[in-house]
Amino acid sequence: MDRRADLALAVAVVGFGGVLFVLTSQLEPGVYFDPVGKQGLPYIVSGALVASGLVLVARRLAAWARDPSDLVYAEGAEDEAGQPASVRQAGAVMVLTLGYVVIWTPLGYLIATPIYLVSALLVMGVRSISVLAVAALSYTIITFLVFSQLLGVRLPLGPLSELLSSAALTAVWKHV
Amino acid sequence: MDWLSELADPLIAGAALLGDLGLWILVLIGVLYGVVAGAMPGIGSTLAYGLVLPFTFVMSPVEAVAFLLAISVALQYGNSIPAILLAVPGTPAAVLTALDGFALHRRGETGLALGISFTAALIGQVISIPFFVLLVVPLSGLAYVFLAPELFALYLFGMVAIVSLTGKNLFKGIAAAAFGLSIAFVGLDPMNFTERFAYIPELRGGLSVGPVTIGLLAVSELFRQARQSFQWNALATEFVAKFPSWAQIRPTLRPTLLGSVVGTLVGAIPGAGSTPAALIAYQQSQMWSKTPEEFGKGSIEGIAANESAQNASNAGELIPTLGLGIPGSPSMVLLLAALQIQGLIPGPLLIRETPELLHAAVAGMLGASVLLLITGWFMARAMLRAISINRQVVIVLALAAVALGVFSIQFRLFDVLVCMVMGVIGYFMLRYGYSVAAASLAVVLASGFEQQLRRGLNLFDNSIISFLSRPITLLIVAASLIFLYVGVRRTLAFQREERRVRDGASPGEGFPVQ
Repeated sequence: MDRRADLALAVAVVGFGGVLFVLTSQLEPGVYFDPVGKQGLPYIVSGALVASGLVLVARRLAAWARDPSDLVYAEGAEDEAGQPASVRQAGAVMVLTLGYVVIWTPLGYLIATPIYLVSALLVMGVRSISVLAVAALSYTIITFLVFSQLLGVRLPLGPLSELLSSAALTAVWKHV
Repeated sequence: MDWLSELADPLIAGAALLGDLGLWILVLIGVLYGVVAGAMPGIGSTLAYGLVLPFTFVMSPVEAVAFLLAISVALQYGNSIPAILLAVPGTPAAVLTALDGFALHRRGETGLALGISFTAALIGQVISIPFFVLLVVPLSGLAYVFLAPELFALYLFGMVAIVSLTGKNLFKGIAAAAFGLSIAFVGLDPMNFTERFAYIPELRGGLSVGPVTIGLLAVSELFRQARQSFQWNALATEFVAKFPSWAQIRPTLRPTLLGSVVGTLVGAIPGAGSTPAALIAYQQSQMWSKTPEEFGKGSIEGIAANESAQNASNAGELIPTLGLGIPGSPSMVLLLAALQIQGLIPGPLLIRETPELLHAAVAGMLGASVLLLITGWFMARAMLRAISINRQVVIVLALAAVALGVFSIQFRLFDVLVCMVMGVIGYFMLRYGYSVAAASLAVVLASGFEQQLRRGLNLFDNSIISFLSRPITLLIVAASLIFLYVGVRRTLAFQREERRVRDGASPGEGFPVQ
């Protein structure tokens, strides 16, 4: 794995611990007294984050002095051997997924879902029109029918809410 | 003969639950889903649980436990199918089945490999059920002895065990567990019920355990798998498989029995799980075998030991999970998260207060075993088709399904956002060796951990010495220190290996890079 990214993560751990420490110091004590208090465990946890992060940073810097190579022994989950891997592909899928959550309310489930599915499948390298169409449409329609109609889950429907409620499809969530 | 009654009552009650047709339907769905999920490489038990977890919230706790356990049982069987037919284990626990099973497949003895795997899996599962009941019932009796100090020590032990046994670096494990605890601090202080770190209205009730753990354990894995695009079916070939005869099965009975016992006991160690259980059983079986040289080259004893152990570990993992409230594996973290959201509190009192959960566990495992007995052999060929499903489509649809499922819990988009953000964080944790299992476990146990510490200190006149000096507390803390020592040794061993590889290769060459 790339030791620079590993070092950056370790620094982020230290940073997160530091932020937690500062935020904990700003907490108002509770009314009911106990020796640990509202801040006790958060202080201990922030200390553990800072300490473990510093150990990890020091370990990487010490090893870097011995060997300037950017690549080190993998400590995390490994990719499938013999197949190319792309961090950009994974990153794009993450961005699309987060974007999908954001557009659920304004666009509604029935519009946002096929857009997300087609985009994510294109990013993952699926090019067959039939696969894209069948996957996106069948998944969206089947899940809408099962969840909204059968299970009574109020899915946000955005601009389609009026149309579907006038078509007597129940469990429609009116976007206010 | 009290022990006989203690063993028989939960088994009978569990079997009685199977008189409900609705439960059979849930178990059947769980079995079908579990075999398909197990047969698809990359979909382990944690991800399989994470994908269906939101849907368990519409079930009763009994139905949820039976359903999830049926998935576990079926998944441990399903993972042997691609292992034997493609040399690709469905989960890491089947890696040794892949070694011996694929060798037999290449020699044209596919039926022998699949048949031994099938019988060993079933026998291992069925034998482990009474073991599970025999071990978990006395544990639940400890509920009357366990006060706040013992419960605090138990939660501490659970976190230390999983930090020490998962991952290659203890400090990364500690950071991961600390991260999980910090997530759980958001919301209401458990003593004063005043807000803590709730900077926006959505955080006043804290971050829900379900979306956080599903994000860390399941969504992170899906994002990680999105790094690569390929298909599993490139290696699939047609085959003819005849079920083995009794003469072929008989030599595998001893390793099957050995694997069943080892699997149950090793599976019961928090943080261990099916993979070490299977590896230890395989190794032990090789030691006692009359033909140890065949192991790794097509040994049916090896397949039998591996399969029986990993299936028996299902019941083993349940022992600390239901008996003590300490999850035995990442998938058990999700099981406890599901029960917590249903209003049940993990801990030694869980079985005492809701014994029907124990019966549900028996029903799930027994029902799934019966269904696999009837359908498992026929599903093996059908599962080759599961491997042919477009992998990229499965990953993207799974992400969409998780979003929908999480939304269905409380109809809050904020929960879906939290889940996906945790998935992004979990992706980096997975890639760089920070244990998502430790973080998730800390999220699940944090509330109880803090409550028992703070309320307990109050009960013991704020004296930390009195709090920690109770005999059982000291024993559990000592066990935690032993596990911490194991974690330190593992970290040092890994660093030695890292130095050895580095010193043996030119700079920038020969590293197992990602």
